[in-house]
This record gives sequence, structure tokens and C-alpha cells, in this order.
Amino acid sequence: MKQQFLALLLLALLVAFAACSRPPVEPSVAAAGHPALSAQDMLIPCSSCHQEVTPGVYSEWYASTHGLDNVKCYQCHGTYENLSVTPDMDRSCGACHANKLGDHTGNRLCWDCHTPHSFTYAE
Amino acid sequence: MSLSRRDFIKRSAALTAASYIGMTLPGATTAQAAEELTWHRGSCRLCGVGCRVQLGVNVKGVAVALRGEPKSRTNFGYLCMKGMMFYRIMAHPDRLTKPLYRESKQQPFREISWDEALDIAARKFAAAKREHGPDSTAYYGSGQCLTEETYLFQKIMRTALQTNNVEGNPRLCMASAVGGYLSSFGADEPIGSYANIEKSSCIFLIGSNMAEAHPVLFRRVMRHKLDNRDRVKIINADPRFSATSRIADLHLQFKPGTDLALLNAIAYTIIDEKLFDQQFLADYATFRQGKAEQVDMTAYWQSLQDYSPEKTAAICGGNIDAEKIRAAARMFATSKGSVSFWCMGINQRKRGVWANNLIHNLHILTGQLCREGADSFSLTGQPNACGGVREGGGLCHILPGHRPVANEKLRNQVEDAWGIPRGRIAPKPGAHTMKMFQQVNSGAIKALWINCTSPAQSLPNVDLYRQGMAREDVFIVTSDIFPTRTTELSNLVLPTAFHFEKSGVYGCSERRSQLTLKAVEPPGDARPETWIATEWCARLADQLQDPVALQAVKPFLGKEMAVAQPQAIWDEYTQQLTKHRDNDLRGATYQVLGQMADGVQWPAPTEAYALTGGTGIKFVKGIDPLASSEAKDDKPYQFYGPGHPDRKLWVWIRPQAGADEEPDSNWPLYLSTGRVIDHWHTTSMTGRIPELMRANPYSFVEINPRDARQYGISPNDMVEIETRRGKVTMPAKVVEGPIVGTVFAYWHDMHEDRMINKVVKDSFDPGSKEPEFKICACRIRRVSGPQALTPFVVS
Repeated sequence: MKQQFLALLLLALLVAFAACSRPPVEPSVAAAGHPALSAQDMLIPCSSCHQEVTPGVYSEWYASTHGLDNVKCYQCHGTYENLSVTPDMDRSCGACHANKLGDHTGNRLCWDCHTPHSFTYAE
Repeated sequence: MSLSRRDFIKRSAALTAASYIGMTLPGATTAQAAEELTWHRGSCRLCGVGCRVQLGVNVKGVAVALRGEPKSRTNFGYLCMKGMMFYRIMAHPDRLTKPLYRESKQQPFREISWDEALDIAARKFAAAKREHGPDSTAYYGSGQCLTEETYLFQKIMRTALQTNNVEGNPRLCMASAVGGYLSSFGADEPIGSYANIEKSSCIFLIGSNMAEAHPVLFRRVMRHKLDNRDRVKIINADPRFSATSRIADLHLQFKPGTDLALLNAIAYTIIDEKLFDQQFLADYATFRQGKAEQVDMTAYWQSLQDYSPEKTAAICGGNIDAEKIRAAARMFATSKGSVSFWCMGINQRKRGVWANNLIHNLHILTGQLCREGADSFSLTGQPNACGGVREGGGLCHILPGHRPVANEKLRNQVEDAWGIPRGRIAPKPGAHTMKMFQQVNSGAIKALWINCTSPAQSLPNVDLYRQGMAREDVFIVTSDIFPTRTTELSNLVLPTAFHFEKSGVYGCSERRSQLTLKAVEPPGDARPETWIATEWCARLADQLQDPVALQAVKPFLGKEMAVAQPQAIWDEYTQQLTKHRDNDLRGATYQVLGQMADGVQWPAPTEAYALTGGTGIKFVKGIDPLASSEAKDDKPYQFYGPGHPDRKLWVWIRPQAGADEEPDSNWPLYLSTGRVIDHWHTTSMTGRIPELMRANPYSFVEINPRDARQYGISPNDMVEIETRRGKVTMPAKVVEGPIVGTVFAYWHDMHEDRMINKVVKDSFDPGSKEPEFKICACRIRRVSGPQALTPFVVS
């Protein structure tokens, strides 16, 4: 009986451990255009998941000057409630590169010339 | 309903693919519609870099956008995420908007009027002075206050209350740098400017995670390195491999507390391999030991014999070997220009002043000073620790204009400028920060004004000092914009105007003073601190029946509070008290500062000179006007600072000194603490911005994988950190960051379970009185697997 109890306890602990590899899921909050995430999932840095789900994008960013200087996903794309897959140039790029908007870009978008996420400035 | 991880990955991939072809999936938010904005130039509210920004205000007078100022020579338009987003707290619903009061700290707060609030504050401080003497009152300010605010509060404390109990949180982060500059160069604050970065060939980063703590300045270092990959060498010396280390050519990872030995070993190699500048030493340097006893270079060389690269490698451990030390010394000494940058990793040490001296030694030995691309530069943590607190008299031992309070002649200069009788200012320095809070604990201090900072979270061993702050016989006023751990222990909470809701000057790390004018209205009844202090002092003078007390604010009473009042305070400070001092700011009037995209670097004695931008490199004839006017000989460099009568730079003999509390068998690990890029200090501001809070929602403890294996800890496990002072529990990050045998915890968390300063030791440098936040001994244990935690701010 005692051995059965210990075995069950061990099994329960293993299940609990597996469930706890990430914090427990809470009711989800759907963000526009982004898969719904629980409140706990929202506390995971964007790059943690995107390193896995979009490794190419992550690698490009990590090796870029933005990656070296810790310019993070949310600075261009916002967070869940205000997520914008295509950044608002004035409010994201323009925050740091205000003098490069206007005459420099004409009617073009920044990423027409500078490859998104790697953003080689010599392009 | 929550998605499965598989669904999440599939949908994320689709979303990312969509981004490449410039479309937005259904349901995604669209860009905000353009609106007519007025852009107001000012400084960033956060770190000490001094980035210039433009605040976008809409037609309703609401701040809705922020961008960098491209013409600024500090940031050239670049911002970090904190800088991009800080304006969003201005309209936050948690803002304090009414004065709050409670007689007993056990009672709930109730809203009161400003008249009542100021009368209470005046009555309590006057009673404390009358019944317990001037030193039963104290002011504890901040490196985030405007210069006008720090200057005015210290003037009131010294004139009306006659105490030098004037301190501020720069004691916790900058005091060792002040001690280092004064004892090595005879003058506080860096000789050069950020502009040396782009002219340097070697950059030595020690005790600084610049990539996260000063990201916009780090961008300049990174850009310079990327543009000159072979020519520019970066040395990063730190017990922790950080984001800063990514650009390093040489990373020196040493055991915590062995930095002094490492610096001495680099000096040893410079002398051993004859890499020093003999002429520079002959012209400008002397050698010192103990309390400034002069010795010769032979004695200095003799003192370094314990620090040969081989002996030092054994002391430092980590990845240090003798060849790495020699390589660092050669890179540093032989480059066309070497710049050192450091911050809390050096300053927050039991021997922080010595560590500063040893960095300066390297520059003096090699003549890597006073020329383009060469400087010994202490990074400042806060936006106005230099301009307001160090220059404006915001510490217990100094008066405005870098004047030691103990010096009668200099005290008299201040008394004359203020129009108060000579002898009014107390000659004895007040209580430094740690002593001040010890006196709060003992009840010796009865009335304490805390402005724009939260010592109930930021002091080391903080629970000990929270006991004193909770005493019913200690009356505490806190003026701030949000509820904090400190407002929880206060009797009177005064709502203050935030940056851009008032006017004033910040002076950043490179001696640069920059003006920010009011652009939006503060919420509710929040008011500028200069108005609060002026009105309080008028009532205080009445309570004390003391006309001299009123003199502290008489020139400012009744002035319009948005601009005229702070301008009058700035004018008094700069025109009366920086005249003929090394931080001469007479040329940096509001009129001049208002014209400058990026302010003025002192010394700037005239408006015409200030309009050129001021002094980029101190002490150099032809660049620094004081180097010519104060010259005593024909040499090109004139070290006229107030600290060294011999006008020389001093190379100091300083032995290795470890931490105050080293690990042992019971406490086997080092605990170090620090910052992350997304947060500012206690998180009272950045914790209320969702993007920033989510990026780093709580404190983590970084553990090296080898240590994690030993303790059975996996990523996100909950880990208890215990020291002789108590315990905290936080989730783990298992990373090759800290050196083996060291854990590193973030200090940005208000939650009682995770406030790391509860366990940090409160020992301090005997010279600078700056606490050793960076090192103590601890033990850790895995408490559980990952737990669902909730980000927390006091509200």
C-alpha cells in the first residue's frame, strides 16, 4: 500500500513537473492578430518564443545592430494590445531616426531599402 | 481560450510570413492616425547619458509621442525603450494628484489641501528643530530632481533649519566616483566628453553593463567598433558576461572583489614593459600613498610587486591568465587614444574610491588624458546626479559650486551670496546617507523630507532601515509622482509635477547642463517641487519666528511657478555660486540653454562662450577658458581643480581589497545585483508601462549552469537567496552570465518576496560612504519548480 502511494505520489510529481515547465496557463487574452496568450504567457519576452517559432527572424535581429544594442521587438511592433506587424514608421523608426524620415525616404517605407530585422544601414 | 503551443507556433509563423509582404492579418491593430502635434525639446527623464528628446503634445495638451533630438551631441536622435516610452506615465491613473496626510502611520491617508499640507510640514519641522535641535531634521533627495530643486532644498535646510543633513540617492551610486576624481585629479567630474568615443582606439569597460544601463551611449561605442573593427579594441572586465561583452575583443572575467588587483596588474605591466609616458608623468603627476603622503615612482613600482600578471591571475581566477592581463595593458597603453568607462560595479564597493583611483592611475601613467580619444570617464546613473547633487550642494559635506562645507572661507562665500549672516551655515558636515538612516532608526532624526526617491526600497539591508522609517516619532514627508514603498511609511505625501510638467535643468555625465521647459499641465493638484519648497519655507520661517529663515526663499516667493520661479533659482545658483568655481555656469542662462539643442558643458563663464557649447575637455589651454585664466606656467594642461594645491595628478598606491563579506562554508556564493535595460530603479515608473513591465516582469536571479547543476536548479525554478540579513525568492535564469560561484539578481521589483535589497549588505566605503551593493555572501536553494507570478507595483 505504502509502495503504491509512493508510486502515485511520484507520478503526480512528474505530471506536476511537466505542467510546471512553464507557469500555469490562466485565462487567455486575445491580442489583435497574435495568437491568444494567457496573462502568464504575456510575461515571456517576445524573443523567447520567436527564437523557436521564427528562428530566422530571431537570428537576423540578434546579429544586427538592433540586436547588439538591445532594440527589442516591442519597440517596433508594440505589445499584445497594440501589436502592429507592420510598424508605424513615425512612432517606431521615427523615435530614433526622425531625421531619416521625410526627405530621406520620400514615399518609400524604411524596410523597402533596409532589410527588416537585420537592418543593414549601408543598404 | 488559450492556444496550444503547436497552434501558437503555427499562427506565429503565419503572422511573421505576412510581415514580409507588408500586410496585416485581420484583427491586427492599424497604425494610429496621424494627428497635429507640437514638439517640445527637453531631456530624457531617466539615466545619466543626457539624451535629448522631443515630446509630442496634441491639441488637447496631452503628451502622446516622443522622439529623439537629432541635433543632440549626446544621442544624435537615438533613444532606448525607456526613453521612448517614459512620457506614457504622465497620464497614468496611479499618479498622485492630492496631498495625503495621516497623523499616525497606522492610519489610512486622507486628502487634504495644499495649505493644510504645507502648514503641517512647517509645524513638524519647526517643532523638531526647536525641541531636538537642527540636526533632528533632514532632507533626502535624488539625482532625478532638477538642479533648481536640489539647490533650493539644500538652501532651505542650511539656512532655515541650520543643518547640513542634506543627502540624496547619488550617495548610493556616485560618491566613490566623486572621491576618485577629487583624490586623483583634484576636481570632480570627467575631464572629457562622450565625443572621445568616436576618436578612441581602445575602450576599457569595467564594472559597467553599459549595453543595458546606458544603452544609447553604448550604441556609440558599438557603432565605433563596428565601423573600425580592426583598429578599435574593446576590453570588457566584469565578473559577469553581459550584453556589453558581445562587442568585446577581450573579456576579462574575474572573481568578484578582485578588481583592484587586476587594475594594479595592468599598471604593473605598463611599467614593466615601459609603456608609460615619462614626459607626462614628469610634467603633471606625483605619486601618493596613505593619506596623500608623497612618494616617488620607485616606491610605487615596489608596491606593485604583489601584482605581477602571474600572481594576479591567481588572485582573480575566472578566465584571467597572465597573458590576458598583458594583452589588456598593451591595448590600453599603446592605443592612440584610450577611454575607460565604469559605473556601479566599481563605485558600489567597500573600496570604491580606491578602485576609481586605480583606473585613473592607468590614464595618468600613460598620458591617456586631456586629448582627443583619451579619458577616464565615470558613467552616471541618474539624469541629474552630477548637475544637481554634486554641483548644486546636494550632499552633506558640500555646498553649491563644489565647496566643502567645512571650509570657513567657502562657507562665507555662500552666506554672503545668500544674504544671510556669516556663521549661519553649520560648519560640521551632516549625516551621510547610511548614517542618516541609522539616525532615523535611533530616533535622533525626527523630521525627514524624502523627495523623488524611494529609500524604503533602494537602501541596502533595507528592512533594517524600514523599521526606523516606520517609527511613529519620525515624521516623514515624501514628495513624488506615484505611490512607492516609501510613501507607505510616510505621514505626508505630496504630489509633484513630472518632467515636462515643470521647468528646470539636468546636468548629465559629461558636465552638460540642459534645460527642459514645461510643456504640459501636471495632473490634479500636483505641483513643482520648487513651489512646494518655497511655500513650505515661508511657513517654516513663520513657525520659527526667524526672518533669516525666510531669506532662503525670499527672492523666489510669489513668482510664476512654471518658468519664472525655477529660472530665478537657476540664476541665483549659477550667477552667484558658480562664479570663479570650476563648474562655472554663468554663461548657461535659460536664454542660452533655450537656444541650444543639447545644452552647455561647463566651465562656461560667459554667454558668448556658452553658445559655442562650452568646454569639451577640461584643463586644456585653448579649449577650456579656465585653463588659460587660471594658468600658472606655460604647460598646455593646467590642473586647476580645487582638490590639489600642487596642481598635479596623483598616482595612488592602493592595495587589493576584497569585499566586506566574502563567501565561506556557510555562505558559499557571491551575490551581486544590477540592472536590466527595460527598467529604471525601483520600477515605480517603468513598472506602469506594459511593454517594459512585460519585458522584465519581476526580478530574476541569474545562475551559472555549473552552479545550477550543483544546486539542482532548472530555468524558471523558484530559488531562495539567503544572506545573513534575510531571504528573498525569485525565479532563476540559468545562463552563462555570472562567473561560477556568483549569482546575480535584478533589483527592479517592489514585491516583498523579491526585493533584493532586503538581503544586500549595508557596509560602505570609509571614504565615500557609498554602500557595497555589488558584493555579499549568500546561499541558495531550489524552493520549487516554476510558479505563476504577478508583476507588482505599489498602488
